[in-house]
Amino acid sequence: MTDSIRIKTVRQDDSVEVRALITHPMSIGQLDKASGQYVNAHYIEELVVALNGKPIIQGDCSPGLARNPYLMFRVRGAMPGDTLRLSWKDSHGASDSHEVALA
Amino acid sequence: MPISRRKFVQVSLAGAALGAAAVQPARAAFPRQVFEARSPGDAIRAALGGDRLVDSAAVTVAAPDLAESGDMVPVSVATDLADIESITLIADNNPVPLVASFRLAPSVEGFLATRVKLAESCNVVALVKSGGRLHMAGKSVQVVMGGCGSD
Repeated sequence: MTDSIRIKTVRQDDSVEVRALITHPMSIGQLDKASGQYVNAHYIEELVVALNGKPIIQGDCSPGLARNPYLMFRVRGAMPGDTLRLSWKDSHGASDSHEVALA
Repeated sequence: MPISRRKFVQVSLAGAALGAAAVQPARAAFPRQVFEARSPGDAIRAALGGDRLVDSAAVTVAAPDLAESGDMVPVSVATDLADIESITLIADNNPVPLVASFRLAPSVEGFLATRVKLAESCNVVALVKSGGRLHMAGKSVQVVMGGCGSD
């Protein structure tokens, strides 16, 4: 999967507000009534945001996150030119990552 | 808005039971079994170990009072607490109550917004791990049409 991630950043007083949108079905699959388990789920399991290569957010996710996951947060002490990278890995082993330079 | 007394008691009892259990060491990542928990108490135990659970006014959960569709419900968590280790979201009536858990570096402010699926009307509970405690707050959301169907 490519181009699944869009990142928008806005510099505020002493922090940078980050809004990230990921295109992903986040499908919960079907409930198998016999086993009580969900099967064929397709969702992002791991989501990592790194600032200059150092993880600042590590998310463990379930299909409980809505389709096309959205994440907004604020990070302090980020300087102009710093790089912010978001990566995800899903339950089918697919992954994507996208990097932006902060203004 | 504080979560209902009934739910608070339920979750607190679960937390009290956990308190007796040994504190687990920090993990690099959750094993997937964590998400197999089918009750909020189990989910908390599996995801966050035996830290003490406290109802906290320092945590606020913002979500709509009424969601016409549970497919995509905006939820945000804000907290004034310092030294936040993680923010965990739980939808207590979802078949998989543990929605997501985010471990935060100190440079990330105590605020997180995302969108969740809600299977039915429920409390969206946020647990903020800070200072060896789990600070809990919640917001009840009425859902007209559930968002955890066969999609």
